[in-house]
Amino acid sequence: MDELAEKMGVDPLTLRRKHAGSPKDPMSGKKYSDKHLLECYRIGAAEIGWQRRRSGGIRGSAPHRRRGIGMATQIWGGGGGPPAYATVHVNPDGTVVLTAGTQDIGTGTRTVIAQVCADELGVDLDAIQVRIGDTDHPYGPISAGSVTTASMGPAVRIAARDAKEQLLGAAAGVLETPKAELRLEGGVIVSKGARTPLGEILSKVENNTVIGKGARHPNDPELSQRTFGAHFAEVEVDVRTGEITVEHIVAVHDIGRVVNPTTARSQVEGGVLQALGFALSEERFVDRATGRVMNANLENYKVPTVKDVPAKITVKFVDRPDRRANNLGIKGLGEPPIIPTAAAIANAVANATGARVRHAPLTRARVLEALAIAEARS
Amino acid sequence: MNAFSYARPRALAEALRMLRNGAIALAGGTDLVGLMKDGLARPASLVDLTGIEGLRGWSHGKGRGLRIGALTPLVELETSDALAKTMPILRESLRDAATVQLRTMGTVGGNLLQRNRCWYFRDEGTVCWLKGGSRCFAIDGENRYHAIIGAQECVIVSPSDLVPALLAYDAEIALTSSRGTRQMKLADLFVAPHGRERREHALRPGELITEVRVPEAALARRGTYLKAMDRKAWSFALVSVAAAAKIERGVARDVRLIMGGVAPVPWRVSAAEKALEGTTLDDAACADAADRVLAGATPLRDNGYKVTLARELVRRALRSLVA
Ligand SMILES: Cc1cc2nc3c(=O)[nH]c(=O)nc-3n(C[C@H](O)[C@H](O)[C@H](O)COP(=O)(O)OP(=O)(O)OC[C@H]3O[C@@H](n4cnc5c(N)ncnc54)[C@H](O)[C@@H]3O)c2cc1C
Ligand code: SF4
Repeated sequence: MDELAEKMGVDPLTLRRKHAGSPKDPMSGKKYSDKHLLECYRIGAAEIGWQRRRSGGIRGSAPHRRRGIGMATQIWGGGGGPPAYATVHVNPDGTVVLTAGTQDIGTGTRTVIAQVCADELGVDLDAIQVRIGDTDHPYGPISAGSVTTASMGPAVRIAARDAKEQLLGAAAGVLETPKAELRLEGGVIVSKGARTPLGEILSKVENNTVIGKGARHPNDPELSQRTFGAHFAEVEVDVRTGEITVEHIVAVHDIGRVVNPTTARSQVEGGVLQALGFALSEERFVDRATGRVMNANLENYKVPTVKDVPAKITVKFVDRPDRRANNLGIKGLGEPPIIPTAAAIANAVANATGARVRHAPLTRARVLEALAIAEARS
Repeated sequence: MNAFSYARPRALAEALRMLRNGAIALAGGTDLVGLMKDGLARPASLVDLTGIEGLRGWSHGKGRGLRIGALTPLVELETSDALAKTMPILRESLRDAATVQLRTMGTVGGNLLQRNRCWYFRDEGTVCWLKGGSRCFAIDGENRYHAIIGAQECVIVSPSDLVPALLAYDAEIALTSSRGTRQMKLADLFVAPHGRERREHALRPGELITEVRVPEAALARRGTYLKAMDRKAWSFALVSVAAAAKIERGVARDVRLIMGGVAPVPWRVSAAEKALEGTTLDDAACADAADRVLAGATPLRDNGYKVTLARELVRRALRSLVA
């Protein structure tokens, strides 16, 4: 895309802006459920300082160092969908057990589904015990394809609503008040002028445990549910040794409503760091004669170290609920952060130096070769 | 790992007796234990040297040069501010060597004697030429980290960061065995494997390195160490350069230029050093020195980039001596 822009003599972001606004998914011809890619571009360009970008790069911190800015886009799935099930048990003491067959591999699923449950049910987050990671539980999706939250979350919401309706029904009987006049807030049934703890209601009914059930609703088949995002990179390149230093990464994503800003931000930071290895140093070497992997170890399979991490990683979200995607307006964020990073870095390197490396990772060998080609051309 | 006996004597004589009987020396173990786990070293008995008095620490007697005990952990050389004044290149070379954990365990003697990192060599299942096989698999295999110069049957590269720095200061080593002691130039410790010499070091069986010595005259040099890596830490050098010289009124004397990561031994070409003698280390002189030090370089399929890197590092290192 950047090379095309260069040939046309237009700014690569301008070129993208011109063509990225379509509300239709060109793959399926369906309309997107929602799309704020242009907004991602706007936020990202402001955060990285795109106006400083010059064709041919800018001066670096030393005569042999050049600076460049680049960006790349991600469009990914992440809409989630059925099947996914959850149950919400409200115990006689007012505590809640949320059960689902999904798992938390470090992405924050446990926290996020507890939040959805607490919010819908009207109880405190502390009141909820989450039971996941067991195939004896109602089926939940795998942690893959960026589908976990957007599949599981809506099912949890439906289960929580089911439990709430039953609780309000029970409370209406006990309090002899029409159900429509009752609310559940912070674990307390609120009616006109009175506040009754859940436990008190449940102690007065015979079936004193309420079990709510939820199944993920289907997606609208007429719509295409996608996530959008853009990453911007600023790099400095030592044009005589091929060394790349990533100074700043700006990551902006449109994933509908952000359920938890902290887990979302750390997912993006993690994705950026993984992609940094993908962009700069991680490579598998297979002996061509025997097929043996020569670097099945952490000495020669080079993941980034703390020193490789950019001085600054800025994470932003558009954070507008995608109301046509599902009952929470949320979409996934598993893979999106790793998608555009390497391309943004490679584009920044090309901007800084005129050297275009088309093969990841951008090792010294590849960068020096591309620099030699660029020099011969100019 | 094979079964082995282990002893940690307090007296040097006791260690030497065990070594005479075929025991292998263990210092920090950061290389040797890895080799044992991978089945590349199978010692029947180990003598742990870390309990022996007097092999650890360094001293600088004015006029008597610098002496560094072979069992001194690398981190001690790196963190001593006093040593950074006496011989700043040590800190500079160790800063990016391995990791702080490895530098804490690893010793000076072990660093000089560490084995090469060729991935065919380190692969237990591959019996390459250096391990007694019939051919080198790297020469026409995966060789981006291998030698560009000075290699014969085997294209390993000298892995140490400390060694080029010490060589730029004319270091010598003191050796001892049950048969007596000797001293030799550190440079003579390193062997480019060839012919019948399928080894990397010229240590005799049963011999210990007790000390590294840097002559007083060399300590007057300015020196610098540069290292190019595949990432910003915890990587062996793709190419490294130690340069040192006495700068008198802007003119360089006693120039030393040693490269790591390019040849089976620390790479030094005296014609390059001689040509720099008496120059101001200007760009032309540096380019000429780079030509000379890399004359006859024959890169393999995947490591031509090392020539470009080496030229630039040589230039930068030399220029920084007069900066
Ligand atoms: C992952 C990794 C990364 C590394 N990166 C770097 C790097 O970037 N730069 C670098 O320079 N090094 C690097 N190293 C190597 C490291 O510096 C060496 O392993 C260390 O210095 C060896 O010291 P040691 O005391 O642990 O030696 P040991 O493992 O105990 O011994 C190594 C060898 O030396 C012999 N030996 C030790 N002391 C004596 C003595 N006094 N007399 C006679 N023989 C002796 C032993 O018998 C053995 O053969 C790395 C190592 C690892 C594992
Ligand atoms: S370079 Fe040396 S150690 Fe590596 S495969 Fe060739 S012979 Fe073996």
